Amino acid sequence: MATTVARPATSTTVPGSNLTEMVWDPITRIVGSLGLYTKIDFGQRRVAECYSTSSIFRGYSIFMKGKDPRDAHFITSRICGICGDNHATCSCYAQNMAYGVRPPHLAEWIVNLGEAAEYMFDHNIYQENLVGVDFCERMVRETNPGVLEQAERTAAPHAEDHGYRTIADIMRSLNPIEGEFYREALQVSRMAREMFCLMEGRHVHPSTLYPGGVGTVATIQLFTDYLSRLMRYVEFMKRVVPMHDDLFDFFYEALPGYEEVGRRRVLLGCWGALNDPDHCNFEYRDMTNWGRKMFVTPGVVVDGKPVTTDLVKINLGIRILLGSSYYEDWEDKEMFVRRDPLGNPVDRRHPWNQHTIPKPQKRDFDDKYSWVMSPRWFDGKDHLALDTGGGPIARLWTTALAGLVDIGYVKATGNSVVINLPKSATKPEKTFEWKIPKWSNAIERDRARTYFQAYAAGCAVYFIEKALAEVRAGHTKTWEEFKVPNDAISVGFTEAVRGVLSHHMVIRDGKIANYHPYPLTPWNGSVRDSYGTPGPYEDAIQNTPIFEDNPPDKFKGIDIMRAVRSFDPCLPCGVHMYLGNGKVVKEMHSPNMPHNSF
Amino acid sequence: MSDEAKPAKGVGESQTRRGEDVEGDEGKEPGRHDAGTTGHVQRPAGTSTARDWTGVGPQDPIGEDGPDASKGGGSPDR
Repeated sequence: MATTVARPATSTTVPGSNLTEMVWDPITRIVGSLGLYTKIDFGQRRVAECYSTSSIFRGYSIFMKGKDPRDAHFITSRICGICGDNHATCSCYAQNMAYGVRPPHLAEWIVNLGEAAEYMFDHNIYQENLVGVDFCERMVRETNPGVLEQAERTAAPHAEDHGYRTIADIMRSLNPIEGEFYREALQVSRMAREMFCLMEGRHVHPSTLYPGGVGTVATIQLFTDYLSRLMRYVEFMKRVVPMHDDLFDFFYEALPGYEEVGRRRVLLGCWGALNDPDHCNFEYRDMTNWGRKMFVTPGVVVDGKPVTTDLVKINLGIRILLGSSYYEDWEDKEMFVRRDPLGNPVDRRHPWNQHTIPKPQKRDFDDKYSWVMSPRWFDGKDHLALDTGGGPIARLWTTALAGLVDIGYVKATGNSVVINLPKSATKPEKTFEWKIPKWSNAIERDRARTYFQAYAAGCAVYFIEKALAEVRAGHTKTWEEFKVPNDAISVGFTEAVRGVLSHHMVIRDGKIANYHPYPLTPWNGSVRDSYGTPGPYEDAIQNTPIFEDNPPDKFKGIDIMRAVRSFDPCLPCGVHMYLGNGKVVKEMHSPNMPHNSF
Repeated sequence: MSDEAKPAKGVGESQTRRGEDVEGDEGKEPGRHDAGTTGHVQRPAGTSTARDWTGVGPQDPIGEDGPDASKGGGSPDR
C-alpha cells in the first residue's frame, strides 16, 4: 500500500503579505478557453487564491433532446476535436446498453486498438510538444537560470537509454520548433494517428464506429499496418520513459519543495477503459463484474486508499452541483429516472435527472463565474471533488491498487503497474514499473502520462494478438444488428485521454429524452460548488509555492502554468456555444465572397 | 432560456437508411454467415467467404488448410 503524505495546513492571511492579482486568460498550450484568476503573495512566495473560469457554453445537453439515438455518437464526437473518438466510443457503449446489443469479439478488439492509439497519439503530442515547453531550456533560462546552470552540470542517469548526456541536453531537445526531440515527437504523433485511422476510418471523428460494432474491414494486412507502426512507437517509448524520469527527478533535486507545486489531496476518479469481450455484455445488471475486467480498472481513490472499483456504485454516486456556475437549478423539474435497472434509488442531482438551464450573466467571483458546473462524487457522507490528474495518474493509481489487470505486457501488482515492452527493431525487451507516488502533484501527473503511453502500447500489442487470432480463426464478423427500443435508460463509462468520461442517456418513444455527457473537464475545471468546495484546478493551484526567480513585473507564472498544465486541461469538453440571435460586430465586403457579417 | 427547446421540425428524424434497416429489408450481404455465439458472455460470431471480399470470380481456399487470399486484404502499400 502506498504511503500518502498529508498536506500541512496553511493560512491565507499572513502579516506582511504582499498580494498581487495576476490573470492568465486565456491560457496557452491547452485546448479551449480556460482562465485563471489568482492572487499571488510574493512576500510568502505562494498563490493565495485561485479561481478557474471558462467563458463559453455550447449546449449539447439541450440540442440532443429529440434526436434519433443512433445519431448520438456522431453528434457527441463533435464535442471535441482532440478526443472526439472517446466520446463516440462512450456513446456507443451507452447505446449498446440501451439496445441490448453485444458487438462481436473482433469489433471490441478493433475499438480497443483504436482507443489505445488515441492514448498513444494524444498523450504524446500533449506531453512532448505542449507540456515539454514548460521544462525546455529556453523557459528554464528565463525563469530559473540557476537551475539551468545546474542542469548543464548534471549527468542524465539514463543517458545510455535516451542518448542525452546531461539534463540540459534533454531541456534543449524540448525547445519548441528547434528541439530535436520536439520535432521527432511530432512525427510520432502522426504515426499514432494513422494507427487510429486504420482501425476506425478517420481521426478524430471515427467513421466506422457504431453501436453493435464497427464497419472496419478486418484483414491481416490492416493489422500488420497497425503493428508495424506500433512497434516503432514501442521502440520510441524505451527512450522516452527514462528521459522523462531523469528530467522530473532533476526538478525535485534542483528545487527542494517542488513536490508542493500543483499538489492537492489524493481524490482521484477513473471510470475504467478498454472492455474485455470475454466478460463485457454491456448489461447494467452485470456492470460491476465486467467493469472490473476492463484493461484499465475503474475506481475511486481517496487519500491513497481505494474506495471502490464498482461501476454501479460509481454511477449512483455521481452528483451535479451548481453554486458558482451560470445555470438555474432543476429542483422542481421532472425526474427521468427514479431507480436504476437494479432497483437502486437515483438522486435528483444525478446526470440521468439533470436539466440544463443556462443563465448567462456577468462574472462575479463572489457569486457565479464560470460555465463549468461542479460534478462531485457522493461517498455516503461527503461530496468529493474528484480529479483525474490529467488522466494517466488516476488510471495507473486505480489499476495498480486494484491488482486485477494481468495480460503479461502489463500487470498490476497492488502498489505498482509493471509494463513489459517486447523486443523492437534496435532495442531488447524492456520492463518499466510505475510505482504509486507519495503525492498527487504536477510532476507526478506529468510522469504518469509518459508511463501510460507505454501502458497503452503494451495493451495494444495484446489486443492485436487477439484480433489476429480472431481473423485467422475465420471469425470476421464485426457488427451485430439491433433495434432501437421505445424506452430505455443507459450509461457508457470510459476514459477519455484526460480522464473520466460518462454518457447518460434516457430514451422515450424511440427518441432521446435526456442526454448528459460528463467528461473529465467539468470534474477537473469545476468551480466552488454550493457547499463552497473549490474545484481541483483551484485548490491545486492555491497554496502552490512560487519558485520562479523573476520579480512581479517580469513574472511568467511558470510554476502555476506547470501546475495547471499537468491536468492537461481541455475546455471544449468542459462546456457544452449558444449565441442566441448573435450580434453584428463588423461588416465587410469582398469581391470574392458573399456578404459577410460576423 | 427554456430547457424544453426542441429541434426544428424534421431535424431530429433520421433521414438516412441505417445498416440495421438495410439488413432488415435486404438480408445479409452475400458471403457473410452467422455462426451463433461465442465466449463466456455469448457474443455473436460470424464467418465470411471469398464472396464477401469480391463478386468477381471469388475463390475460396482449395482445402481446409489452404491459404485464404481474401483474408490478406488488398489495401495499398503504406
